[in-house]
Amino acid sequence: MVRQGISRRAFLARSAAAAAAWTVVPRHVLGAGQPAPSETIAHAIIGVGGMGMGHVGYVKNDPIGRLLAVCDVDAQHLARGVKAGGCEGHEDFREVLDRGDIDVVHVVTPPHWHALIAVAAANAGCDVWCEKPMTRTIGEGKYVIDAVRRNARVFRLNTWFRLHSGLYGLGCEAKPLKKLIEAGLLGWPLTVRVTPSTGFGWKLGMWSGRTNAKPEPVPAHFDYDMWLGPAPYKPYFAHRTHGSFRGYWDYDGGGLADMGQHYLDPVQYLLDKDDTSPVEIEALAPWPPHPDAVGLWGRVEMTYADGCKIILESGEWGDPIDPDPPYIEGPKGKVFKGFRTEPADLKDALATLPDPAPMISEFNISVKTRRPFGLNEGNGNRSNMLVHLANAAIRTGRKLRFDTVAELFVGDDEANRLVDQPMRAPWTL
Amino acid sequence: MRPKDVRMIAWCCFALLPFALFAADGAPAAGVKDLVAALPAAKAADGQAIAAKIVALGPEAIETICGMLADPETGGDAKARFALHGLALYVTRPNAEAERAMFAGKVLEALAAEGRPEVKAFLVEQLQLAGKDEAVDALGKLLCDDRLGDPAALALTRIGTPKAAAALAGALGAAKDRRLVAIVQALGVLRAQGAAKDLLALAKRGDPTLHRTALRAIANIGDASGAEVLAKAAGPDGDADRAFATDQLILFARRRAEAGAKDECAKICRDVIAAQDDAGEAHVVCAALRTMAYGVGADAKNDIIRKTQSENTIIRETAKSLAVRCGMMPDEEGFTCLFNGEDLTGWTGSVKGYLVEDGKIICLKRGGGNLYIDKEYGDFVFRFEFKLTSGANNGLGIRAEKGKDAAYHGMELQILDDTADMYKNLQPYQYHGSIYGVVPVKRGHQRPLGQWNVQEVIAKGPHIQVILNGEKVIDADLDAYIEMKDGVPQSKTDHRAHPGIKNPKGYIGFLGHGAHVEFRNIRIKEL
Repeated sequence: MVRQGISRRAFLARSAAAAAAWTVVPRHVLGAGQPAPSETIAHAIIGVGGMGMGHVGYVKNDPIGRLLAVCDVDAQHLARGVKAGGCEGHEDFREVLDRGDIDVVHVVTPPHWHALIAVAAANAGCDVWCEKPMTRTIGEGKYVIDAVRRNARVFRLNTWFRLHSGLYGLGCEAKPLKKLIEAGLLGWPLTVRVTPSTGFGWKLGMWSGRTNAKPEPVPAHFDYDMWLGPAPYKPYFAHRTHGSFRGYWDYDGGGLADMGQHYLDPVQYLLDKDDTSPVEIEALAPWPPHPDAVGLWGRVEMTYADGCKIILESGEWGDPIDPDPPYIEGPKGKVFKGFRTEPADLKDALATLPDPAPMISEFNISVKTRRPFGLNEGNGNRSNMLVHLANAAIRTGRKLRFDTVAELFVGDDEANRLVDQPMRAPWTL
Repeated sequence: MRPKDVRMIAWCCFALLPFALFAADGAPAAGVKDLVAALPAAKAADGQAIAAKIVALGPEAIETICGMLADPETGGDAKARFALHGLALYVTRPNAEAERAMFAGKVLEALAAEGRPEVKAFLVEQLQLAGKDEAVDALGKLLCDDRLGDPAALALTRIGTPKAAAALAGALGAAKDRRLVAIVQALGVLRAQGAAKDLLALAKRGDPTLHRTALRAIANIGDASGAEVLAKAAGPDGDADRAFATDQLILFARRRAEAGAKDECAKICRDVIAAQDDAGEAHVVCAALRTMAYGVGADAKNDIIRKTQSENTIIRETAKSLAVRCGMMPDEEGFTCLFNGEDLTGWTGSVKGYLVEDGKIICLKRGGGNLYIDKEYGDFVFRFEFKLTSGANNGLGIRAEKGKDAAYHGMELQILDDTADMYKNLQPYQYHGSIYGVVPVKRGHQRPLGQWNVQEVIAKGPHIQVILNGEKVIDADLDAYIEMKDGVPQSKTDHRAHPGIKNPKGYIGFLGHGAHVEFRNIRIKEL
């Protein structure tokens, strides 16, 4: 579909003057309790596979959300999404962006497409709700940040644990931990351990790729070339795609990339590291990695300049892991799974401690007020980088040093090849 | 045994050693195959040691492994793929150029002899890691191949040398359709100046994908010759996808500014802004404003300030945030940004002792000294954020005389890591936030070391207030702490002369004392 006329999108500011330009449908026409269209937010979902269907649910359950379109390169997924969404369907995300009536674009494709679609959506004047990991490589993150900010858009990732909800098997939320830390009760620096023993399973086996798969015919309903997009062509077999793409470096980064931002973004928040990255990263994993299929790892240790550390353990490879290490450990105190603390009465202080700085935790508020969501393109990119720093150490098999300002590895060209990876034409950032 | 016999036996063993590496059937490959079978290893160090052993076996070993590759229909070559990929990673470590060259040479030989497209693709992928100029010719010849054109273009992009760019440009004539698009994209990514003129012609061709890719490449290369075609594409008689073309024009403006053509950048951005009169393209105006702000700097101030009055909310907010970030406008009512986030414009004194990085002013450990804002202030509200390192000692001078010790010729508000062991026995008027030597501070309100602290200093005549992380830690009338002795003000607290403490105005600055301290978000409102 050729883009029309002068502008890609009639971009309407959320001001009184602009609101007058809408044809406002009186409430009584819509029925009691219905928000008027000018108060609702129009959504489109790009990628309606497994996770995409979850996004259909998000919009359907949002009283001011209207789902106008879904998009997929698999005709069967698309049909299913159209049916569930009760909306229009598109095969090409560029058609979705051309519509001109979408406020929020959900990017629910595999990660190798995230940056391209997020940037295109921001350039089209849409806000972005992006799946994790935010991008497939470290280098792509800055393009998303730039596009979002240049176009004055709001951006959120589909993770939320620094904002609310229990931290998986840990047994508490981020907020009380943040209060303890900000009050200095644990001391500084801190070490955080993200392992099955502290309540975080990495699902490595589930998301390993196959090294021996034979090519299969591409199903007629599946546009494999478009699904690949910027990724290099490799002969098709089903395991590359849909439910198992996480097992292939070309599209994602295994279990570490799957759960990484869910687990590590709240850690980054707790350690007050939203504006920086670790300076040293080291992994224990088999070596060399397979060029195509993601495999297992045992441990990754990431150290910040001020001595804070994040330690990842999988328990799925290598030596047995400590069954009960502290989740957070500082010179003055520790917090274990189940919110056990040392000293034991650390929690008692919580009642009198001030709350941490407030964050916007409802995306609709960001969309309407234009103020950044609590987990946005800036801090979200930093936790995205944690995932890829870890994978870089796993793939190179070396202790890596990272320049947190230049966002490049120090003295390691090979690791830097993983940072900026050129895309298959015609796709480029 | 006699020594001579020992030497004879030793010599025989030595001479026969190479044969010991061969299997009983005489094939030289067996040692290699055992090594390949041992990959991946459980420890990176072991894996790299195995890679080293393979490399030590020489070029034939690489050749053997290449020979173990199978096409995916046949399969069974996972180990060989682990090994070749591992070798590509291994030989590209620092200071191993000879090994890399040997490896790349053998991969090229295998590529030349190989017939199976998927195996060739895999070999080209290893050249994406390990190839340099020696691979360019062979890769250039693959650019028009349907299967291998993309991986070859990516390999040449990775190699990125002038020779690689020339090989890409050289294939422009013969390539068609997607092959041509891939080459044009690679030239754009490489910012190949030499191809700029060829791309102008390609941008005029009918194919929309080629046109877009060429526009993008021309914009990214940023050669002056691209101005006309980009302006036309973004103009009213230009592309159907005018928005894309405008994005490329804005990118081009940024590149022109980077090349030193700031006036050209400003003109392009102004033209783009002027062309977006209706509210329909607010995001384009924002993009152009931002490009101007960062490309052109202070000369863009009027354009940005003008847009802070825009009727359009988005444009107004973007312009305001740019003005703040670039030190052009107050962020809070009545406040002026003192630090533009980019450099020490507006600051004077020990500029070499401080570093600007990532929106912060950093006092260097082996640097420091007194860094002043180049203007005197009398009564004011001063706000800033700071982050300490262990044992840090710094200070905020206010109403200070340049070139003198601000603590006595003005005032010094202490900046200190209160938690450091070496400071455990200080006086209350020496801890963080205190008016050094004069007014003791209410302690205990610093954030844990390594976290950012927020501080506000309100100076109105003799009334000084310091608010640290929301808590008022100093609320002092200086007159209560001073007595005159022989016409010179003296602190009743440390019993020393503080000649400058009653200065009605003076300089504000950071007083570095040899520790790494970071500052950001520095602004002031005069009262």
